[in-house]
Amino acid sequence: MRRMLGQIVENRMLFLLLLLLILFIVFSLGVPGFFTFYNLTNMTQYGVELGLLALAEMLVILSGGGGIDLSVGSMLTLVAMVIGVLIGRVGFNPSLSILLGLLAGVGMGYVNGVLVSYLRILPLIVTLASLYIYKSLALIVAVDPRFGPNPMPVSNFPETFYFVGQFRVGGIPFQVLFIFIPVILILWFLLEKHAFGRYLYGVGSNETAALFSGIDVRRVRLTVYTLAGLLAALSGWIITSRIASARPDIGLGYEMQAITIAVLGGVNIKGGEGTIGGVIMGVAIITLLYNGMQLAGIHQIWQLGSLGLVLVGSVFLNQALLARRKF
Amino acid sequence: MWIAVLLILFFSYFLNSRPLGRAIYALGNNPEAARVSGVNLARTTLFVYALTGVLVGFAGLIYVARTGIVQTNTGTGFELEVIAAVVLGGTSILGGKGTVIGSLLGAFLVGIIKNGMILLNVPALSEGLVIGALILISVVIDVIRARGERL
Repeated sequence: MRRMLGQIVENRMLFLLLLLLILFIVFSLGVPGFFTFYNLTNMTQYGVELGLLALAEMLVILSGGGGIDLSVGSMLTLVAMVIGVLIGRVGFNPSLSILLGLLAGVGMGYVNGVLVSYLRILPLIVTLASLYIYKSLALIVAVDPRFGPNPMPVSNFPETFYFVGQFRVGGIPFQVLFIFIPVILILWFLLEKHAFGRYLYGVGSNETAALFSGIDVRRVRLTVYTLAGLLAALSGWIITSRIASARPDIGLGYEMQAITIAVLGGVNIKGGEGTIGGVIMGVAIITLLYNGMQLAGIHQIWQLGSLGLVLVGSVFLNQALLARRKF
Repeated sequence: MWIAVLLILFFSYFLNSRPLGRAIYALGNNPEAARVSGVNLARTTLFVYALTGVLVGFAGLIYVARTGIVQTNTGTGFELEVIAAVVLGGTSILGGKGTVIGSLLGAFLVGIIKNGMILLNVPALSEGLVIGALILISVVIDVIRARGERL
């Protein structure tokens, strides 16, 4: 029994899996309507959007050197607005607009990356500044001169645009099957099987050692921030398609959620440590909690608080047990 | 206003001349060295966070007294704006560097920019653009200056 407990504690994945299972069983037994195919798949729609951001955050934090990206929420908003305005107001071809939106995300991430890696400014400051800048740009883009000087949401999309966010294939949401799972697989391949992953973990855990072993630290960081921009852009596209509207305030507060999920998933905030599996578990736990509490009719006031408690509690428990085991 | 002046005077003195104030700087500069020279790391950290709570309490008090309205979402988004102000005021994000006066000037700067932009009739939408650009510029200047010192 004690050995089993020890194993669970040492293996973050197992610990999170156990937490997930407990939550799942509690909600399934206690909340009517939770354990239905519709609800469970519906939940994943929300999970995808948060999950993409959390993966972006994971990559950036892994790269070390104080790596953090506060601007993912703003990038998401700006991409959503770019796509929305191009399709809904300018009347561009949807595919072209989406492509341009994703490119905008890549560009924003690239700018962050250049500032962090080549100008050597601290990531927290760079992304704090770009959080403001991208958010402001999203508001400016959202202004429709025909309706006065205020930013307006865009919602007149063609029917085909909703495909990604609202359609289901065999009952499973399209974006889970054709965006989220491929993204996970590609990232998993990059991190676990490709040299890039080794470089990234190397840079994150010991920058000097990585530099001396011939890794181009700056390029690795630049790549990571650019990837974060792309992932945020994907998330922005999916949200816009799901809620059928591009709103200039949609990404507000997402950066904090993404960071908490990454940390819950076992990513070391100092870099170099963390796995995709852990982050996926983190996303699942948070999504499950949100959904379960919503269905249980727990008032919104209590939801944020209990979420924070679960986060602090799980990290504390993990650390406390780990510390006890060491002695 | 007078509360702020009192607090500023007190904390300038406190940070520069009291042992605990110096301990905070020491902790931020080099935790290991601070520990060796007899600073209680856990207690100092605890003290700093508790003090933050006290100061936020003052801010809340003043805010309510000024606006006369209490809303549950008051203060949403303040954390990032405050970090921006403090960074502008020259506090090192890595810790161990920064002054009360600098932070005050940083906060004034952000406040004045917001106010000035309204008076100049610049759309509020581009407020973030200016603040973001300002943070970047101030940091880039800092980086360039640091390089000059090293050479």
